[in-house]
Amino acid sequence: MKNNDRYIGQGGITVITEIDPSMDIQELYTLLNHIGDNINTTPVIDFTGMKGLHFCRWFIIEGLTDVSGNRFPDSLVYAAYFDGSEEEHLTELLTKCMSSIQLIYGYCKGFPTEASQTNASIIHYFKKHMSKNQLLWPAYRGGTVEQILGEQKVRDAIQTYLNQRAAENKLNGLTPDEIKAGIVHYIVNDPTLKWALQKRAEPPFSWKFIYYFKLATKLLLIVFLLPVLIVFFIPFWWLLLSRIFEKKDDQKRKQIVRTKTITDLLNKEDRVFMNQLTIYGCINKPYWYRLTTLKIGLWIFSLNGTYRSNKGKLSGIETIHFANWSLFNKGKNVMFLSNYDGAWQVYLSEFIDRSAMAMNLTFGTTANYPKTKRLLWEGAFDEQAFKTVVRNNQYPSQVFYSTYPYITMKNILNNSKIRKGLDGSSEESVSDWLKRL
Amino acid sequence: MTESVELNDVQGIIIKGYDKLKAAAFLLLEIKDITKTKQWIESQLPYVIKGSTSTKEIDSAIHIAFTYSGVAALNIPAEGLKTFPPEFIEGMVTEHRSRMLGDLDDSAPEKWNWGGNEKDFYSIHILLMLYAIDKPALDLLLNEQKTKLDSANIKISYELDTHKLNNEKEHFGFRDGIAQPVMSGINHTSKTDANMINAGEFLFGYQNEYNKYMFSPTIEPAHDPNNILPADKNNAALKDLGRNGSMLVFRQLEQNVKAFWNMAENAANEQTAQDNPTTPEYIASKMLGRWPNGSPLTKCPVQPDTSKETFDNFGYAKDDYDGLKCPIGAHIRRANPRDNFLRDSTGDKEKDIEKSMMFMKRFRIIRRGRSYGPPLVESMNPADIINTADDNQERGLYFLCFNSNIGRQFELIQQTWINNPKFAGLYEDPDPMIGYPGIMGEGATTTFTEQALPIRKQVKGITRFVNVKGGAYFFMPGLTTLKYLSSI
Repeated sequence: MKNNDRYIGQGGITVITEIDPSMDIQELYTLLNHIGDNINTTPVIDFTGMKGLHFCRWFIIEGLTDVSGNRFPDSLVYAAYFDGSEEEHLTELLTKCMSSIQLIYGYCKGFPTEASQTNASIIHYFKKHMSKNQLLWPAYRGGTVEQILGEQKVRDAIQTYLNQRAAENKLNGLTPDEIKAGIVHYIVNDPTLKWALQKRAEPPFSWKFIYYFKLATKLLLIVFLLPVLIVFFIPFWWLLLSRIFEKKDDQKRKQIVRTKTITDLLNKEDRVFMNQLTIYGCINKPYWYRLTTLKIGLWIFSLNGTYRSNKGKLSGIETIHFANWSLFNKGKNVMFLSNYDGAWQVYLSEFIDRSAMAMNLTFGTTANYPKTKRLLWEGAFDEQAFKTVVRNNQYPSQVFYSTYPYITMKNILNNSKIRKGLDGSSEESVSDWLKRL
Repeated sequence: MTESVELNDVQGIIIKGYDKLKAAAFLLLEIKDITKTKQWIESQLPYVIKGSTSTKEIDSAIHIAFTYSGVAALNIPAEGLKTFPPEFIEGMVTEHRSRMLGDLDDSAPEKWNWGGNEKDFYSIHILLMLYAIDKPALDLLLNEQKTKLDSANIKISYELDTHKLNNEKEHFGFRDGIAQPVMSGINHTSKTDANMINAGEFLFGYQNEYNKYMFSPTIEPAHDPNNILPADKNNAALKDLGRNGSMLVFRQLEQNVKAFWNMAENAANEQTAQDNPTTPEYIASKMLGRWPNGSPLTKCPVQPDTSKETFDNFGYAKDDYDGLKCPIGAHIRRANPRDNFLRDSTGDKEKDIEKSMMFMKRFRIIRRGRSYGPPLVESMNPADIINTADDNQERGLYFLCFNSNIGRQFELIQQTWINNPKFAGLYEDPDPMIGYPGIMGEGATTTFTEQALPIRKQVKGITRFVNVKGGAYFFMPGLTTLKYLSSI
């Protein structure tokens, strides 16, 4: 277990590359759909070979405009979430899937020609087209793929052990301590599992220093800006301007109409337990106000996500693995990508029930969003209207891969607490720990 | 302020279950002649029992609902048709919906008795529900209707008979239909607050639990020349077809009674052999969450209590958080997680409870199911069921429920709570009685975890005892809309 020795963080990239207009985009759809549709049965690309990959997706943006109707060139987006650095991920991607990458990106503008194709030149190409993550939120910080799969294996092994002992009539009459001792003994004696008795490595001092230093500067910034906030921002930006612009927005509640895109989307949903959400839309007018508001919203979100919601829950939502906002098309459009457990209906209901204000502050800056009031109110509090706007701005991902489509966020957290009971860092009583099994 | 429900415009079956009317039959009809069908609808209006009518006053009832093909057949303008909920428009059978609902393998639509194929999607138009005090009275009602339908040139495609079982039980031998929500805006003093749900969760035209009006099917005023319909609450420029109507989910669920009890017997024998003496009734009750007589395990964990047969005023969060009494994966705890919907979510137990109670109101349905097929034994007593050999008769439940948002209510409950092996932090445990873990891929099996001290017990490799044999989504209009439909 690598992260027993050293802390490994999680990263994510969004690479947006223009599709060569001289190429047939339908062919690219066919290629990607072929990869995506067979991903869990007869994989075309060997994603399982990529040891640091959590999830990835490819999708095509076609026919998108900004809010004024200016066309954004049809593009291919690759989004991935991984352990370690961008460089490490891209190197692994090219090592394992070079031929597919050549095939897919053969449809894109500016991809290095065959003669000049080297790992370095392709990595350079990817990095050049990377869009900046306004916010990247890994739900379970420090949890590597290896650890997530490993801890699930430990949990499953304990289940098998317990069922065997029960069948042999050897569990009856034991005290909690005796049962746990038996489990520990079993894990110690399995060379493939005994790493679980060691603790995961803590982030190094330098990481912690930077982490808290950044927090301190951000808090200082807030304190420093407090007079501006009170005098200018709250009365003017928040209370006054918001109302002026909100009243110009479309006031009508829109009812859902199933389009072909939504049908395509549904066909790809619920194939495995984990699903993905790909949403993009236009930043609304007036652009300067909406974009700045969005950036402020995401800044607050990221502060919360980094320093507070960093243990498996984002504002009370318990089903997200990774969430990611990024701006593209020179800040005229915004994209939200997430990987979540279970059904779309309940995932969206969680957003509405538990963090409607956060949705309003961020998505509320996009066109056709249900009308908001003072940036925070209404909007997502209207369940049907919110779900409608999400579906209308949601697009299918032709390729979606998850390394652990059946391990939910709740399972991950429970598994890691089971492991903590083994490595000695758990503060639970033995009988409480046994309830996790 | 609570809006009062226009009970005299709501079809009565949405308001009451008609326990007194022990005989019932459901007819699935195909329209052959639009004009005559409209005349038939108009002629039936006086017999459609209203929500305001006391059950004491009636000894029979009829109710009428439509599929999407049905409302389309009645010439509702195309613009209006588009405003019906997408789930209703698409119908119960789509590739994606079958995955969500678990209608796969033995429950796959192509194996259904009705509603599973394209022909039925287009030709099942109307659901006619007939209720009567006893079998002879129902036969009279049926014969009378058949004559009328025949003269209206309406074809009876399927006739579904019901069989009311003794002691309010369903075929597995458990008392059914206990936890029912009621609409606020109707006078119900005996109900607990948790079961008091805004009328908009079940009927169009009222505020729902988000304090919004659900998108209702509407038409342009030009299509309502006689001004029959009320204005839409969301857009007063439109006429509301949905007002006082509800969406009806109808599924035929076949129950393999002997297979269920054989599983419980085997599991009991296995645990007894492991020095945990137990009975099949105990295992089955743990899976359901109530004893066969209806008393809830959370309140009576050791044995059934005859004084608590319909007891419903309880929660899990305080008395039974860990599932030591009613297991976390038990049927009633998944179908309605009550105050334990959020588990360790906000970091504050009291706040979790408060929010759970509030959120749960958004995921409730009114159930109006009826059993069909003869009981394996008349007594409906599990001990007798276990001791009786299989008679290989078809039996099960016509599951009927009302809600105003099929996607957020019925489908969410079915997908996220019933079929979901990951429910409430579990791993491979869908509903042990009616769930199907199709989402886990080929070869996935069901485990049932019974939380216990010092360590849980498990029943592994549970197969499917309940299979879907038919189904469709219907719209049950209010009486005004029914009148409108007969007039256009």
